[in-house]
Amino acid sequence: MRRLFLILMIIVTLVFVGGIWYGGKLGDFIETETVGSVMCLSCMGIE
Amino acid sequence: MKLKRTVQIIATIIQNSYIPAFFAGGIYQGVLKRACTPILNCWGCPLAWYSCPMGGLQHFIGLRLFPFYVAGLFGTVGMVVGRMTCGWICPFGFFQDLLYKIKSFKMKLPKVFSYFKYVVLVGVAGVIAYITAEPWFCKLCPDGALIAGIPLVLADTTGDLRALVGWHYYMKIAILLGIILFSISIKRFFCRTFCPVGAIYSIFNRFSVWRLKVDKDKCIACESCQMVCPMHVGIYRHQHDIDCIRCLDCVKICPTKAIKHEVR
Repeated sequence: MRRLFLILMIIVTLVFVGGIWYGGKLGDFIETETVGSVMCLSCMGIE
Repeated sequence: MKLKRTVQIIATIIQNSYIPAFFAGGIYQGVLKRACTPILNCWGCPLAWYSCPMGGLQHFIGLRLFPFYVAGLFGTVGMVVGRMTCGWICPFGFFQDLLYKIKSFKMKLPKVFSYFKYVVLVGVAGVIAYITAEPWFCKLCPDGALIAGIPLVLADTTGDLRALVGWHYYMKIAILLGIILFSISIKRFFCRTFCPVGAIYSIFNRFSVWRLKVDKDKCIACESCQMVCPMHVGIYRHQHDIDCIRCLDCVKICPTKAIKHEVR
């Protein structure tokens, strides 16, 4: 049972790693860089 | 100096050390902004090298896109170490640790307040961000006020930013002051009640590969662990508590060595 749970956790972790990879393929990295490089007025509290 | 404190200082410097901002003004714009830090660290900070995952999450939600990258990052980190990043590398958590060292009247926070961060996560950073397509948690975030709003407005030589300062700016400053005041009296007040990043990681505390384990036979329920815990967690009662940030202070203080950390 313990071994099964461990295997399940590894699979779930790999799914999340796959999410990062798939997001990168969809352009999430570039989108994050773009929005992160703009001076964030919301974060500063400026309208 | 304690290992945890050293790591907190180094992590704060690694995440916020874009020195050219002091001379050129503005914020870092480059390829490192593709990477999100695994904790709350405002990407509007002039010294920040990396992006804020909560800002990123709300951005994708606002665009009506599934945030594969940010969700994958949260899930991966959470599955491996649970909420450990809050305890070791979060600059805003470190800031609250320092605030609590100020000698003053100290208070305990009822456990029920710990669940409010899920309301913030789902309500403010989720539903409201989706409906309005605006990063509403960022608009209220005290970390943004501390490391982005205040320094950028103070360093504004042209007066362009200062001209835009209004009710929203003052509201953020008021929230920040409230958090600071409460954090002097209550251990990690923001982390326990409002932080949506902590809310996400807390879900993984039960399932993470690396975790704390309490030997009930050895435990004498002396509550030393709860006294030393920066989140005031009684780990001897709930070893997978949602507020445990795996700082390991309890492991060191336990007189019977009943608390251990292990990889499953």
